[in-house]
Amino acid sequence: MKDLLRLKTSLTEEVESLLNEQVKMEAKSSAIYLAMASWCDRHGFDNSATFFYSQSDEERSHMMKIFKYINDLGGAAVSPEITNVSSEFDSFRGIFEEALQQEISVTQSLNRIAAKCQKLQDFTTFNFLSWFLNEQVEEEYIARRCLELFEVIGEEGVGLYTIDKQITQLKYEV
Amino acid sequence: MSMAKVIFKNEGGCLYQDDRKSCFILEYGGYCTPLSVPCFFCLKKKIDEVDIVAMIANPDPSADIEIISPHACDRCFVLTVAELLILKDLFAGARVMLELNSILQERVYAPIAV
Repeated sequence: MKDLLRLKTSLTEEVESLLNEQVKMEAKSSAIYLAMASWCDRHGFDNSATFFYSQSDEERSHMMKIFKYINDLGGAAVSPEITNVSSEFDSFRGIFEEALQQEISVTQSLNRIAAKCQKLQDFTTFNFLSWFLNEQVEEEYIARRCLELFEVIGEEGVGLYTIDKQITQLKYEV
Repeated sequence: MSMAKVIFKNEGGCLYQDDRKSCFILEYGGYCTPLSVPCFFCLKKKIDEVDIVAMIANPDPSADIEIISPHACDRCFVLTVAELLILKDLFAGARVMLELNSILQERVYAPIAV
């Protein structure tokens, strides 16, 4: 009897479903960053707005990478429905706290998928995910450094202006 | 149908695999419905997603049936709770057998050196 499952796709149902969940998570991240960029733009934090616009684009490119991978392996990538993206934030600092939390959630989710791939001996997907895991090191580093600027510079006087100026200078060097 | 092989059978129906057309055939309620591989998974997913407990708990007569219309399939299923349970069991059993077939293909027909 033909192995119709394997002929159709190399992905197991479980991994395909997890990857589609990750597609949704990356899409939601992109939407959240876009909302953050808009808030920063409205409140005069130009550099931070630029930073978040670029973060939003990056998250979408991550989403597309996974999306394409699912289809390339014969699976069915599902275009995600994104709802409940808040466009209001408590404060400038609150935005960066939420951004860090978002990155941590993405890393945890990728780790869970990588663990599942190892368990199912899907080393192709595990290898594919290693790029994302490395990328998360940079993402979390930048998000943490952004937040630390609030401690280092302080929010009094020209503090917020200086923080906004410094945001785009942050870089991760290996 | 004579070329098709039985994947899984229960008291309510049977799922076959047709190697010639590379599709599955669902024999249920007196009809035979061809299902492509994506359609098979789509239907299985829709059946699994039905909250049977909520259906039973809901006193509204409209909650007694569930209408399932998988994509790329010319059949629409109008199912009662009992029928849902039969199909759920049928698809779950077929899924296990397909997985077993994949394992056999990998381990027996295309063994690798260890």
